[in-house]
Amino acid sequence: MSLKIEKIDVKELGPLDTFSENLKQINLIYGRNEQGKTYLVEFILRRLFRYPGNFFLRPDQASGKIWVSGLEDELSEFSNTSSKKLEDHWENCGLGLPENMARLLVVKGAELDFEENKRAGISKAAVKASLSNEKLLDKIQERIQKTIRSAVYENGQIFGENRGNLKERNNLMEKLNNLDELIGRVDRDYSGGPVYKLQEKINNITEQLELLQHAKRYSAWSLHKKICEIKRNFDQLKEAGLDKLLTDYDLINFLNSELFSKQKKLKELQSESAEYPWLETAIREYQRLLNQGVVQIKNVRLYLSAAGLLAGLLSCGIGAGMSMFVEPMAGMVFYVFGFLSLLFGIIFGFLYIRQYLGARKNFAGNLEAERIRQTFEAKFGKKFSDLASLQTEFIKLQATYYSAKALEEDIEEVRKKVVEKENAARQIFSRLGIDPGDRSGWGSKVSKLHSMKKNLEKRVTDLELDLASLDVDESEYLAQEPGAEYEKDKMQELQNQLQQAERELLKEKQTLEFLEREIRSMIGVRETRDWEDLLENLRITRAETLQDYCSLSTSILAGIIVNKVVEEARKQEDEKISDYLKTDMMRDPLFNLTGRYERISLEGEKLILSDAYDSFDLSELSTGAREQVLLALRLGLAANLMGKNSAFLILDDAFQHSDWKRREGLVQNILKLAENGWQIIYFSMDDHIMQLFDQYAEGLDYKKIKLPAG
Amino acid sequence: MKIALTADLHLTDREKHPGRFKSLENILDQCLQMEVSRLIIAGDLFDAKQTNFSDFENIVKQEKYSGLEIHLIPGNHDHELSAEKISAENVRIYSKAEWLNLEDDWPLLLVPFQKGKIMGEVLQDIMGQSPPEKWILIGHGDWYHSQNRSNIYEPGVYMPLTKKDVNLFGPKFVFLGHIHKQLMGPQVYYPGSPCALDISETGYRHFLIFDTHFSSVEARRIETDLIYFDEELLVFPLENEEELLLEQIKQIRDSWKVEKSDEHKVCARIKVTGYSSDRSGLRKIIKEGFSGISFYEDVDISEVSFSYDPEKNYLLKKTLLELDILDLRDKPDMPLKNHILSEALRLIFEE
Repeated sequence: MSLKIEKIDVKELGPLDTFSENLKQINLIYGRNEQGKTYLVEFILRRLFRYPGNFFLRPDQASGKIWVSGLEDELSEFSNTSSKKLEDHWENCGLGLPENMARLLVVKGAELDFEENKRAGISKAAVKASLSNEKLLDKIQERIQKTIRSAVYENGQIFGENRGNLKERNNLMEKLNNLDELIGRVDRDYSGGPVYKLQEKINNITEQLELLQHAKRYSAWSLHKKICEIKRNFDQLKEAGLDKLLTDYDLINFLNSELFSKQKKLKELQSESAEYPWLETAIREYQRLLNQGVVQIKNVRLYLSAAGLLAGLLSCGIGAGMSMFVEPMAGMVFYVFGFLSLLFGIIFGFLYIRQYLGARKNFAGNLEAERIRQTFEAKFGKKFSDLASLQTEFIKLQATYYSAKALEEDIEEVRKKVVEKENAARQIFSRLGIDPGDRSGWGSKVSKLHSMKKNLEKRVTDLELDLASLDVDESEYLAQEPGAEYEKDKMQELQNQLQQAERELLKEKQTLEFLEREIRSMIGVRETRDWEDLLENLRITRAETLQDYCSLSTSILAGIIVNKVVEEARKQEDEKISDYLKTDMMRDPLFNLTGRYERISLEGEKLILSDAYDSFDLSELSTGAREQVLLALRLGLAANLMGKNSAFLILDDAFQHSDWKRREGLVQNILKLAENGWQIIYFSMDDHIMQLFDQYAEGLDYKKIKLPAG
Repeated sequence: MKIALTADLHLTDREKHPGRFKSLENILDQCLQMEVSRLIIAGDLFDAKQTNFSDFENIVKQEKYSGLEIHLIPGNHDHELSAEKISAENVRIYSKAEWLNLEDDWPLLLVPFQKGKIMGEVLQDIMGQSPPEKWILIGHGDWYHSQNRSNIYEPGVYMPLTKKDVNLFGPKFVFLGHIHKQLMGPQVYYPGSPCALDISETGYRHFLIFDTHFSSVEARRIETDLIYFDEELLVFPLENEEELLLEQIKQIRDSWKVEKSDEHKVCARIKVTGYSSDRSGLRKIIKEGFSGISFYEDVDISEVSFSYDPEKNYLLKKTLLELDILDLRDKPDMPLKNHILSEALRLIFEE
């Protein structure tokens, strides 16, 4: 049984006040623009179909009904309030998208229009576009990024190319991880406590150190004061002549020692030159005696006289002997020599006698001279000859004698000096408050003073070393007692503690500064801010990043899922069309419309049509033949859904864009359909189409309805 | 010994916000019932700039509460609160960090909010060199470890307490006021606001009972006139749209865990998004689903679009099936299924 619209009854539909018509097998509803043609198509769609498919329906306030035959025994009435629509009478095949009857039974203009340049595109896609809602699937997929379409979700993770939203998500995930790590570190590392604690510790140590520093300065001052006091005392001792005493004491000792040795020497010299004064007196006396005529008998004269005489006599004897016995001449020589010797002996004998005679005249003088001679010989153990003997000895002793004299004077000088020094020393002893006492006791006293001096010097040196070790500039000496004692070890220990605490504080601060820098970098803030602000911004950044990440994850996951659903739907649509093409349901409309082809099949992307003898690629057929095939496919699917029955076919100026030659063929084709039970309702504003209907439908069950002009 | 803890009442004038005073009275009454003699209010008892404390004093000065010690820690909203402003004898205000020594029990360190200070500094200051071995910190500020605390009433970070602080100073328990959301440990607890200040503070409100003997913390429900909820529904234009919507509403109501006798106190803000085949009938269905409760404002369906498209519905059904088997691994950084569904709806239905 075929499905047929028997009657349309509507009031106040756009420009149409009323439209009430019983329809025939072939119906042409003709009207110019704005006469309500499209309103009427929409009214039919709205009343008959639950879902008008790709058609956009304007709201209408019209009231009216449509009566349809072929669904039930009686006419079925479709109005605004009908709960059942045409779809409710058919069953879906269960595969892929639900079939849309409105799309199958209502053909809009240009849907059958295949231009020559689209020839190559006539394939499975064209069939799908005509028979199923491929556009919807495309539209949905277009909303999903290509990267997401190729991505998959497995084991809680999204896998795909690192591009587009996936890349953005990965970046956000990385940022989120960095934020979490940073927040974790803030939580783990950030605390005001340690910094505060260390600062407190440092302050405490610093206070102690300052106290010790004061103590040190005070200690330096104390040492300095002691040193000054000692030095002052020392200076007083020096002023009192301590150094002089110590020096003089040594000098005195030296002088005494020298004195001793000089005295010893003097004794020796005096001993050696003891006869010098005698000699001096003896020479003077002897000289006086000599001056008084006291002759000192010179035995030499005697001896010379004797020798001369002896020699003369001997020589004369020898001469006489020679002259006599040998040679007179030779004896002559001896005679001469003997004569001369006799003369010599006589002269000296004369001189001796005269001397002897003179000595006999000054006897007292001679006695004295004798006494001198005897004394001399007794003293010196030498033979006294004359004054020369005295003088010789005198000269010998003279140097010693004068040395002794000089030494004696020297000793006297030294002695005076010693006395002088000793007197001075006594005075110094007195000034130093020491009883000088006996000279013999000076040694121990001076020794004590010396020790005292050494001790004082050592004390000063020690104190100065202590002071130097404090390393405090004199300008920093502090006279005020700090209330603590300077302890070097403690100060060192505190300094070590301070350094340690400062290092720890620096480390803490560096950690915090590093954290702060990282936070500022993460939240995009350049200037320094307080921690509360930074932490809040970090949290906000984390929340925003998480939100962006979740939002993107949502979008990606939704995209992946929807894409999967769409792909499956697309696949099922392909299967459905492929299955559908294999069924016999295609045969009748295909043969009826083309008058030739019996079967259509899908080979890859190509649609192959077969007649009794051969097979042809749809894309190689003429435009008219392709239009026939696609219309046949549409009707075949609709018939299939309706249980192999024919139905009505609404053509909303479907041939409007076809050229005049093709229009004729199209009109003829749909009239063939009418012959095979299909109800044709063609809406047109085109006079040529109307003429073609009038021409070819004449004699058939044909009704032409002209819409009233507005 | 049991100690009651609360915070963030944000009292103003009774006439202006009676519910907040009622919550306080309920806490005090429950303390009396349980024979708890100490209540510590960890900051923000009063709202900012509140200068009239008479309504509060009228409550605490009542004879029945005379045996109850109330220890007040000023928070960031009432940090200027000082002892001379409250005359009630049973109220003690801590303007600076102070120890509260309980007989034979762990000492409590009560730390008021101090502007510009971080908790660690204050702790170091008060702890000195020899902190007690066991002690409890009660203060007002942010527990930085917990990031989930956004509240429009309390923007910013105040007196942050970090895990390092806790590890460093070693309190056995920390009770903080400031964020209005409840946090039940471990170690750090927030009682949450005892009276919802706005629709964002949802569900039953609680105060805490800390039992020092058993080292246990119990959240006690506060009787309030209103229980807020803020919910979002997602509607899809399937044939069983109404059924699905009602099921969703049932799940939401179940999640509230509100006792039947309290349902009349529920005030919910409902926002609906998605696509409906019967947009005009939505409100009716939702109101039926939420029968017995009041609405904060009219059900918001402004983001619901109309759609009836069997082909899109087919894709939606398939999407729902896919979502059912989607394993999101319960990861906090993964989106909720409802959000994915919402986005999927947009992809499928957006015109």
